[in-house]
Amino acid sequence: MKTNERFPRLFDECPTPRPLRSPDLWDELFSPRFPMNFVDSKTVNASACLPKIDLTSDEHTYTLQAELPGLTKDDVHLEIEDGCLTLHGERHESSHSKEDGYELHERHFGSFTRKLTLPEDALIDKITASQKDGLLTIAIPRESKPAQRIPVQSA
Amino acid sequence: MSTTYCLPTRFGRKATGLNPFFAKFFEDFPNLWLSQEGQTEKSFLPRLDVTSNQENYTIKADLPGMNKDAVSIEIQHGVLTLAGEKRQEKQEKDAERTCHLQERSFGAFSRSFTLPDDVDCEKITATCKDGVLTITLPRKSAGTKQNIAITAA
Repeated sequence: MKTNERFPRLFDECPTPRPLRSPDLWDELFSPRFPMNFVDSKTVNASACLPKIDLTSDEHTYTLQAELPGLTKDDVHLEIEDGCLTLHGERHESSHSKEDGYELHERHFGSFTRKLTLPEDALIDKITASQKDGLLTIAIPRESKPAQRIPVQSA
Repeated sequence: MSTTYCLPTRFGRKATGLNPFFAKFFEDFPNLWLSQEGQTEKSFLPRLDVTSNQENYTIKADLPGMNKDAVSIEIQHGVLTLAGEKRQEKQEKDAERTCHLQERSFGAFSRSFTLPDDVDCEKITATCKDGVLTITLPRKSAGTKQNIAITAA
């Protein structure tokens, strides 16, 4: 699969909390803002509970896949407004595990919202979505327009 | 295909005799591994929760897009190993597709746990639903004390 390096701002993400962490721990340690930024668990968690998304396309369809482990289709809401697709939902921690003691806690819970600006050729009325094994797949058909021909007139 | 490994995780008992700094390091190790920085290699390692109550230990693993046939659970010498491979589902004309956003990670993984002594290995059960694997490890009821008589030589 080829990667679209020159991302043409086809899909924009609306601002969501992102960790302010640099990609390298060593950079982090030697950065002047180290003492303030080193442990910022709040922003890290806000980003970590965002579902991971893959977005690919062929000539007929855009395909969006979002990882939503433990969520059923009733926990996830999809909305389209002003050409912007919003995926939001909440992952609840089971009350059972809340009562129990945690020995290890790596999974994230909480609400999330991700927004994507749809490209102009997306057929909004024909979007379909399905969920299986904690993976949400959204198919966005593309409008196929025949290339516009411009007649050349003799002067 | 390389497999992503993680050090065996201990639970059900506190690390004793360790310098608090190292104890904290080992406690945090899986989290460091799973941090955003670790994801740059695009290798997949499932996130886990381990909880305990008086009857059971419960391990929950996030395995989005995977079904029960894609994972295996083995116990050997008191170490439980959860292994599997997260594959990218093949799509039609894969080579012709354009990728706009790639955040998901794939690959083979293996995570191990040193089980506490009070786990009843015969009664371990596992279920997989909506991309979450739940392993239930029943605890043996408080063992009856065994008195060993000392015989005079």
